[in-house]
Amino acid sequence: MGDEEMEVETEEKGGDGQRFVVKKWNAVTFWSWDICTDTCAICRNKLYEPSIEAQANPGLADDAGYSIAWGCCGHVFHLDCISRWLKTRSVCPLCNREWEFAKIEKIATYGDS
Amino acid sequence: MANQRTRFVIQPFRQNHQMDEEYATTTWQTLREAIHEIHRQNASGLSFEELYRNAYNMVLHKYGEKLYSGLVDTITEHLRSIAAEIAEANDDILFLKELKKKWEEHKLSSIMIRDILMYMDRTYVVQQKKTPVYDRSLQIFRDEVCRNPRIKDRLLGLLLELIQRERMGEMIDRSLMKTFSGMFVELGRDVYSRDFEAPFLAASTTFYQAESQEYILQNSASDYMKHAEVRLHEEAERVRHYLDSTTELKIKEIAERELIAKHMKTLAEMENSGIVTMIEDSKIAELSRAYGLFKRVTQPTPGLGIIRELMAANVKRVGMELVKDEERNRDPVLYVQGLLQLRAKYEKVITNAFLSDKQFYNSLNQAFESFINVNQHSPEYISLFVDDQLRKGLKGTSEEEMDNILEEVVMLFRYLQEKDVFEKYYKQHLAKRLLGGRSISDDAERSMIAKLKHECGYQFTSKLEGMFNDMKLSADTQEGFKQSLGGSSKVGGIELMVHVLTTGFWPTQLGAKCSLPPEITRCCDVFKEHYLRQHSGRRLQWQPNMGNADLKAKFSTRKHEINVSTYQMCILLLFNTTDTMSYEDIVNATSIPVADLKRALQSLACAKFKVLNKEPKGRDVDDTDSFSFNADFTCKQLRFKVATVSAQKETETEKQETRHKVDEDRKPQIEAAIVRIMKSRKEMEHNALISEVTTQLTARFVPHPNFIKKRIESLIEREFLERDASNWRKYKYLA
Repeated sequence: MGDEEMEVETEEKGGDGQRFVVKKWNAVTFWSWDICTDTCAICRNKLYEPSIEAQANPGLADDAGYSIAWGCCGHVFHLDCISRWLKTRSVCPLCNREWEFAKIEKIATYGDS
Repeated sequence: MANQRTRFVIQPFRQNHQMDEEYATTTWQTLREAIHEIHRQNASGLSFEELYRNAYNMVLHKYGEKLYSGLVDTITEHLRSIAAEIAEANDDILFLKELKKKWEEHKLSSIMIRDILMYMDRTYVVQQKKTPVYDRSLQIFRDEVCRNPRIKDRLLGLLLELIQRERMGEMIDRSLMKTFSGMFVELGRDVYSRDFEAPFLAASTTFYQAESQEYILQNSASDYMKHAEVRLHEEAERVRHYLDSTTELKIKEIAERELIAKHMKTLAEMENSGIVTMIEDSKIAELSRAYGLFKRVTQPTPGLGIIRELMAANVKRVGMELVKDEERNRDPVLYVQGLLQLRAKYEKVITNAFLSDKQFYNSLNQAFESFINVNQHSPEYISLFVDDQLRKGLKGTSEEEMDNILEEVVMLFRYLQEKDVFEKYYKQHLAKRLLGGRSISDDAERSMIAKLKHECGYQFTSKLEGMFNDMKLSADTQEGFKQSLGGSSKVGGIELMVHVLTTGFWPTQLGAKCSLPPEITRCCDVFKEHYLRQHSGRRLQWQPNMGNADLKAKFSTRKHEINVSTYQMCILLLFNTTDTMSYEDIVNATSIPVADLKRALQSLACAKFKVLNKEPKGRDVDDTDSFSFNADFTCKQLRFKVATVSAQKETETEKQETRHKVDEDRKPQIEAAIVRIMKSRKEMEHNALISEVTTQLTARFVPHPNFIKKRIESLIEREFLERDASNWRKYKYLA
């Protein structure tokens, strides 16, 4: 039978003998921050978007609302949100551990490149 | 005189020449004679110097009264006989010519008499507050001639008749008319208005009342308006040629009232020819005339308001039909084209016939807003139209034409109340264009974004711009990836091309997942390793519902190269190791969500290119179907693309999903507006806050008050706001 032949061919000639062989794949993938939540626990806005303060005052020169900050504890907030919090207490609002900045990244903002 | 010998005294001159009563009478006789001569047009033999002196002496010697009253009597007597003479004329034209002649003669005579009696005018008349000679002379003419019972009505009747005849198209002696209207004016404003103007206006009113009523019954609106325009022009000309300029406004008012104002409604609604019909048929010249005529009317209702309302009602009616038309609702491109044509039609009318009147544009815009938002699909359709244009519609159109089309679409976009819904769809369609490489012009894409940005500000387009940015960054990433692999982007023989997109910018499909075949998983892993080396702290989530693949396919007769979606690729690769699979097997093997899987299978087994066989045959995919490799597949083309069967328009579930996303996206926007307002006001009542938020957001969408209320509550929970302790309908901002 034809089918058997085909299978034989497949085994003999490897990939070339298969019915369908992928030549090219145009793939799409989304990148996101490697964090467990995608919202800022302080202002509840998405971490891929500016903080609520920044959104309410789009003209603001200070771009802290357009950055997000990682603490050594692994929690992430908008930079301006956590900064406001740190004025009163110097611990992470979620886990109460002493806050220390691990890194700050700009949100990939729009239209400025 | 006896004193002269002893003292030199200058005696007053008049003491020497006392004028007695007798002498005065003689002097007046001389003057009267002279006045008679003047009236007889026989003044050449008179000595001005002598007559002046005589008059001077009479006044000087206190005979002013005698002179003045004698003058009045003489002129009166003279004009009485003249009046009788004129009234005798049987022929009307002769009558008018005679009157004209006598009037002109009388004016000349009066000037001469005035000159002789100038001294009286300067002293006696002033002291005694009498009417100066010339004016008095005209007064007598007025009373004795013009208002003579045998002349007055005959004259007026003749003048009005002449005007009537001119209105009927006859040529009349305009200079004659000018003389008489001039005469009335010279005899005094009140004479002009009382003896001529008032009856003239009354006659005109009657005339136009009758004429317009008759004319409008027998003619079309268009002919009527032509006629009215001619009439109005004629009346203005008449005033210019032979009436006093003060009459212009009055006759204009009457003609406008009788010819236009009273018939506006009839003209507007006249069947088959009225303004409604003109608008429908875009009769520019006629509408332009109508605009000019109706513009004249401001009382009692402004004429243009009537046309405007008619136009608006017409646009609304046609537009409402259009947005509800079933055929158009099946084809979004047709739908939007209909809207564009409708708008273009009325815009042309406004620009060309209505002098680009701003108020007309406003009415047009309001009308469009009212019906475009009735159909909740409008945002989606408009985006689909742009999508169609940017994919294919623009081939062969110049950059400029293209820009015009986009400009027009933006005009429609402006009418949308739910601009954010449009944005959602635009994002979806743009994503497909960008990732599929389907857009025919990058310039056009950017031009559209720029227009939207101009309309709604940068926030509106920021994510759309972010998408363009991702495309650019992806190209760079791809280049870097290729170099890391030593100049080729092949992973295990598969050429890998990856678009890395920012989460949040792009439309996402919830629950899109798929177990990828091993060779594909390897591709993902290799790329991921490369990418995360460049960008730490990130993670990648592959989107099997997006992307596509080129496959080499081998059938019993021939090899083909086919382009399929990622999902379809995963399905087809299953058939390398098996010939037949049940639907359930495929579900288990791929884990593709049901709706997507069915669509993918349908396009592989039931559409143009039947790469798989379905058992039993049929158009739809059922849970009990089974699929097998179609070894006998033949096709003329070596390369082809298996299009995914997809309704171009959204399905009901997709629609709800979009709706849900829109609502989700509105939350932060509403919150941002609340925070912005409360931050500046510190304290605010509930209702005031709701209305302020609504005003701020109307440029993008119209939020429901309940929705705003929920956001306020959420902000209170998160301690951005608090309720006032004494008044719980009042909010306070917490810094």
